[in-house]
Parts: sequence; C-alpha cells; structure tokens
Amino acid sequence: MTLKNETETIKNAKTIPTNILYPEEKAALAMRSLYIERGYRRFKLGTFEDYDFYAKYKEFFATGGVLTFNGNDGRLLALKPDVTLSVVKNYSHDDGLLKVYYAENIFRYSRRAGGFREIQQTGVECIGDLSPADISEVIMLAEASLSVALDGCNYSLCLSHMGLLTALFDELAIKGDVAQTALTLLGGKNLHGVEELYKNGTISVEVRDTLAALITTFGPPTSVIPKVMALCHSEASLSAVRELEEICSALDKDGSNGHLSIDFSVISDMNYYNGIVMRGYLDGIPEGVLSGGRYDGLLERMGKRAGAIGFAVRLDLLERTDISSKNNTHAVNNSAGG
Amino acid sequence: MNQINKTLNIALPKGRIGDKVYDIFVSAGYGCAGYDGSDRCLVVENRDAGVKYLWVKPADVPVYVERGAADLGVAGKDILLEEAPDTFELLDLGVGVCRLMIAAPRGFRDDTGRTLRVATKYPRIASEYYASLCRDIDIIKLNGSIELAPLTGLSDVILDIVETGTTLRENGLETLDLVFNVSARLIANKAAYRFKNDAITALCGAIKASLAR
Repeated sequence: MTLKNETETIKNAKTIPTNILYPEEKAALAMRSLYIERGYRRFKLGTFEDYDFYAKYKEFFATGGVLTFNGNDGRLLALKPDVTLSVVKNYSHDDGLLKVYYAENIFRYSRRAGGFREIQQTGVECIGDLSPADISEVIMLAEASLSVALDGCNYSLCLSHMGLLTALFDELAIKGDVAQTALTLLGGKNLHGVEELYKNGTISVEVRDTLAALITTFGPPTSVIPKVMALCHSEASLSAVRELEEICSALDKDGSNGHLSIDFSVISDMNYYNGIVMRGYLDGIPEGVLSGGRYDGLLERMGKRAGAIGFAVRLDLLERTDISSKNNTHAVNNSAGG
Repeated sequence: MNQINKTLNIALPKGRIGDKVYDIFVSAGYGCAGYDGSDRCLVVENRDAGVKYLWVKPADVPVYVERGAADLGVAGKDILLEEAPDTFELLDLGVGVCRLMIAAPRGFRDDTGRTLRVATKYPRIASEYYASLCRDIDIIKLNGSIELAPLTGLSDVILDIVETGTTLRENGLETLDLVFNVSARLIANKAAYRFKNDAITALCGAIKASLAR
C-alpha cells in the first residue's frame, strides 16, 4: 500500500492499516477486542488523584513512592501509580457485578531505573459476588491476552494461590518475620535458604519439607495438584487446592494447550490477595508482562463487601520484540565440549 | 517474531571467584575446549553443551540476569543482598565463602547516645541491618580500603566482607557482629526459567552432582 493510499484510508476512517501499528498498539487493540467480546466495559481514569488515597493503600501497588505535586488549592495530588485502586473506589455493591477493562498509563518508582517510569498498562477487573465461572473467565482472559500479545510468541501463564499459602502457613504456625522470610525464599526458589533456616533452628523439619516441596513443585496443573494436595491437612488449604484444580480444569477445556503452569514462586501481598494469583511471561521478554489475582483483601480494607479479581498487562514491555540480538553476542571461542 | 534459541547465556564474574566457578561448570560437563581463562575474550561458547559464558564485572552479574541479557549468572550473596535483583536463587555453589561483618577498632564500645557512623560498600545492607536493631546510623559509602575509615576518624565501624580477618587484625580492627554468611550463588532470570526450564534443570542437576563428588 502506498503512503498516499494509506493516508486516504485513514482519512476515510474505514480501516486502519495494521502495518503502521507498533507491537504494543496492536496488542492493546487485540486485547481490547477480547475484553469487549466478553462484555467488559471501558473504565477511564484521570491522570491524578489526591495523594492521601494512594498513601493509605501503598502496600497494594508495592512501589518506592508516588509522584506528587500541589494543585491550585494547595491539595497534594499524585500522578496515578495504580488503576485497580480507583476501580475499587468507584465500585458499589448495588451496581451488581462490575466488569471493566482499562488502557492507562501509570507512574511508578522503578528501583532498577533509579527513578520514576511511565508504564503503559491494559487490564481487566471483575468485582462483585464472584462465581467460579467469573474467576475462570478472568484467568481465561489473562491467558488469551498473552496469546494475542505478540504474533507467534510462546507464552506461559503461571498460577499460584495466596489462600493456599496462607492456610499452609497457618497449619504450620509460620508467622511474623519467619512468614515474610519464607515468602521471600519461595519467591526466589531458594531451596538452600530454606535448608539454612532449618539448620539454624528457625524452622522445624515439617516447615522445611513443606517449603521445599512448594519450591520444587512446578509445572503443569495435572502433575502439580496431586503433590500439593498431599501437603494439605486443613479444610482451608484443601478447598484452595480444589479451587485451583477446578479453574485449571476449566481452562484446559478451553484449550490452554500447555501454556498453563502452577508455580508457587508467584507471590503477592497476603494482606490484599487471598485467592488465585498469576504472572504471565512471553518468550524473550525478560520479566513478567502480566500480573494479577484475587484481591478481596483490598475491598475489605476499603470497607466494601465483595470479591474481586483482575490483571494488568505491561504493554510498554512489548517494545522489546527484537529479541534475536542477544543471541548474536560474538563468541570468540566457539567450541565443542571441554 | 523470532524465537530465541535455547542456548543458555551465563554471566560469570571476572576474577578469582569466577575462575573457581568456571571450574565447577567444567566439572559438570559444561566447559569450553581451548579456553583456559588466560585470554581476554569476554564471550566463550560451547555449542554442543548449549552454553555461552559472558565474563562481566562481579557487581554487574545481577543486572545481566535480571534484564535477560543472561539466563543464568553467578554472584556473591553480598551483591545479591545489596542489589536485590528480581531473580531466582537456584544454588549455593559453596565457593567464595566469607562473612559480611561489622568491625571496629579494638576495644570499641558503641555509644548509643550518638548516631553510629558506618563505612561500607553496602549501604542497603547496612541500612536494613541497623534498622532491624532500631539503631540510628550515618552511612558513609566507600568503594575500597574500608578498613581505613575508622582509623582516620571517618567512621566508627565498618560493614565489610571478612575472609580470614588478617587485614582487619593488621589494621588494629576486630570483628563485632556477623551480618550474613556469603558465598557464590547461581541465579536465574525468571522468564528464562520458564522457557528454558529443561536446559536450566539439567545444568543445575549436573552442577549439584559435581559439587557432591
């Protein structure tokens, strides 16, 4: 198509040629189409809110700070570091089940960058009296979002369950600082760290074995769930595993084609997240592009009685699509075994 | 979109510890024929074994791994605690063993009525360690010869790596508290762990077997 023709097409506003779109724009449109198809409505936000609002729930979006400035009336305002908080703030139980999607830029501190970064996000939130079907639908949408993110790119959606971890920690009386350390070790798949805790007498042999099992149990739901079930001894932990099993089985019927795995290194704040949590990866992008989960704890903290689940996709990370270059590093010594 | 190949890119720390670590990879069957560490090439590869080594400055290893330029890397626990990269810590390789310690001139007694001045290469670790003790400190970030700081009145104590303690003794210092035991750790990029899991699991298994011998 010539430039003139392309321009004409855009002027006519009938079709927009996809070859002018950047990868993150294509992905945003493909994802929006998925969300609308499933009955999600757009939620649009302003760029800033009162700082106090974010300060109150700052652990929820785990960041090193918020970008603030003073409004004309002297109020301290913040460039929004999170979308979910605003969606929840607007939610009223009287409205029934709220299903929304968004495409917004947020502003967060990045330790790696040593400063604030503008992050382009899209995602969905589903809030209300959630049925298992609602939960499955959100996770299915997360999986579908990864599948349409980049043409032909392999992807992986990893699930964990904060309710299960909380129940197991309760069963084993893992509390306070030890619980925090245990979560850090789980998140880092740090088996030798668990062994060290056992050797210095911080944890019992039962705790060591359970943490070790959670770290080494990773993979397709069909192989992981029976192993995890064997670790559970309370109704709370068993019911969490059953929920995980039901959701994975529903997703398999929808054709997750081996992209789904269970991985307890996916960790979120126990104070806010109480159910399924997820992280999504695209082959060649070095960090998780999708994160989310069930966060009834946040609604409770905001004085609202309902369930909530959602996820966000980091569209800005999709800029890194030329991933072949890292394997072109010139090796001086190309050799066979030594 | 091109799929990346399944070669494992491994960032190793240049220097003495890196040489020891490379020997572990060689014993595990992941060496590169003809490479003896004496040349200055920064990238060496064994295509048959599916590994490519990138020799980088020790403090840069977590950056290479976290940002995905390397799938795996080997870094000291001191660097990992200081940089706190978002990576998996898969193995303790048991080399480069030393201790992160607080040390001070012989006979030093902490006056809790004053802010404690701490000289260190590790400001984050120092800050977290003393925060856990509710002790108010003034961190003095140095890049080397940390032992000199209390001798010149620049600091009250130091937080630094101690191997044998000889340098401390020769400079009239003694150790006070252990902050952390340090050794070289194998770390992995979280995305690479998912997409190159078979290769990473095989390599970890071979290294564990080699360390156990």
